Amino acid sequence: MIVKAALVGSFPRPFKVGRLMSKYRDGKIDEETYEKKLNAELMKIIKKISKDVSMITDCMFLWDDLFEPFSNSFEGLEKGGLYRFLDNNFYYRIPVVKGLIRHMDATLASFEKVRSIVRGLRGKLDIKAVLPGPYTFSKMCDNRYYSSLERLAMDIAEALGEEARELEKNGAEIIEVHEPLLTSEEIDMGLFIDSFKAFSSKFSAKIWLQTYFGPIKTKLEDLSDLRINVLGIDLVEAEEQFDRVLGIKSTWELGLGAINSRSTKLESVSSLRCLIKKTSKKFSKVYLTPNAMMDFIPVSIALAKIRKMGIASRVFKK
Amino acid sequence: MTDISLPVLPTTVIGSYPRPAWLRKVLRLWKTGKFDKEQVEEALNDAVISVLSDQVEAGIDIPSDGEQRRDEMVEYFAERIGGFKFYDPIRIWGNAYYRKPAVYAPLEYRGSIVVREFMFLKSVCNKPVKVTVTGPYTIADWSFNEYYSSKEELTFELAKIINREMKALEEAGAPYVQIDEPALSTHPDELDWAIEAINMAVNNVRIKIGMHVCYGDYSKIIPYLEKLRVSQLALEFANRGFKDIGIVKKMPEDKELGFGVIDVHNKKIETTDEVYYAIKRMIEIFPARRLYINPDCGLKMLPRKIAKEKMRIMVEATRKIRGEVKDDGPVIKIP
Repeated sequence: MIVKAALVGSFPRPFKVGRLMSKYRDGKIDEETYEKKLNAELMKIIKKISKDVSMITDCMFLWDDLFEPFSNSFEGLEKGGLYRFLDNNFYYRIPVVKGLIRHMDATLASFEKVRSIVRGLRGKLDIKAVLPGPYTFSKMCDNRYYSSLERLAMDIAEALGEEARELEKNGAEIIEVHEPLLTSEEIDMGLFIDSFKAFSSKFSAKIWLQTYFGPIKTKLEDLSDLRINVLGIDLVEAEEQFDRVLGIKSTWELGLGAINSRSTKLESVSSLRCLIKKTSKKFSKVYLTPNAMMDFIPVSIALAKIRKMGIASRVFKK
Repeated sequence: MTDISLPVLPTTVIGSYPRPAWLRKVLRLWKTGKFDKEQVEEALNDAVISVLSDQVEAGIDIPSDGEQRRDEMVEYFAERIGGFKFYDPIRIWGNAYYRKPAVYAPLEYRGSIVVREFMFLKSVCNKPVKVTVTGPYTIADWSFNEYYSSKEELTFELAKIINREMKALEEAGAPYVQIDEPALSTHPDELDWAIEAINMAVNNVRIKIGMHVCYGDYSKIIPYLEKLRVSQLALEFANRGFKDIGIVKKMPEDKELGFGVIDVHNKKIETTDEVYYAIKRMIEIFPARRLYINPDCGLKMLPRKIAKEKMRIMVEATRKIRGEVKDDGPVIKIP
């Protein structure tokens, strides 16, 4: 079995980077200075992370939230008011649907920025591109245009699929798709499956389906017809998923979300190692990950947790 | 003291107000040792007077001190209650950050937290004033819990502390306290005990108590309002385009509504007509005699000029509609 430590979604945007971005947005520094300073900060952080993980995302440093790049870019969308992101004290600008949704490049620049930094590092570090899933996106936006949620979800699936295709053309081998609403009591599985199929048919890169903040509310078998290569699950807030996942027949690789991205308490290496060990008979490849994006904890804690992930996965290899 | 009579549709603020640029500079320099404590205290007092004057000029009936002494609503309380510590700041949206506290030891009430704020405000304001207190549930929800066995246990410990602070405010003569519980609607499965904790925080406090909730699904809270021992619920509505205002029809008859009509996260200033029609829509479904008018939330994220103008517009729209309302205004009973 191969074990790798990997990031999921975002690494917390450090305060210094936030201030830098604010200054740039407010016109207090020019683009050249901004880019130079931003790249230096990103390089510093990615260097630190890369000591312990072998796969990162673009860290979503340039994204204010999971939907912001798309509200800024896709035709038919605008940024609206602040809404709570799931049950967190973290807020996103709600995408307001005001017209027919059409794809325009949204995340290529941030992906490319991180890729160019990674190229300059020693050793191998894989990068995943991140996208919100079409189901979660359509449910978490403010639809003022489409007559039905189904039509909206299918157009979002189409546009996000185009985005994935562009990312793939530009070197993304894995697309991490965030569908936290798979853990919602009110999940409409029919719509989820239809939109996911429409989305995933647009490109051929590997798909990492990421869920968080609870157990997947449907039978895992319901996902078996979908083109999923890695299933990322939350084992912090839904420990019970562990037995379910061990019991399923599938060819998935597993994203073991065992690091609590909403708590400052550090996990023990031995407990992480124990979890990994239990999956060894079932999965050929396991990624040890946080249970969600890491925006909710301080940078210092995120780094300490990533350290534990690195040690746990290395210990296992030995 | 006598009871306080208010005009119909009294206007108020939720609490925070942008700090004057010079105060921000003083606080920055203080951290580098260029001002002493006494000078900073003087600057903070002057800032309260300045932002109070903004609110009074805008025509606000019940102003606050703009929370000028507080960097952040949870942080401020955590800094003054024993048992908390801080890590580096975390992002809350966009490039807005706060220092999320962590509970690492048993909590301890170390003496009054905001009474001093109220006493100063009272000394410089001849209007009825509002004092804000961060609620126990929100402090618990927005902190890392490294000590107590559960969030519930932590919340009830905080409720005991907040109750002592509420009693201290009552004793100091505060007529109107607003408990801020923006986190309340986020975990519906915790509402049973969260409401109980808030009731514990206000237990045996006989002044007017409101509660502010924002950016959540209010339908989850409404069924619990009968049990909740506060007389007013102040809610954000402008940010969501007044989408869910029908929900207020389900509020119990003994509760007032603080109606959020100003978007505090958008620099675009509302027009008087926009606010007027929002209030008009509201009084068609909710009795004007139980209605207060306020912004969605604290104004501190806005530039000061915009915040003041937004307040002026809110008051102008409210005054315009008052002429169309026959009800009497509410009365704040003084125990």
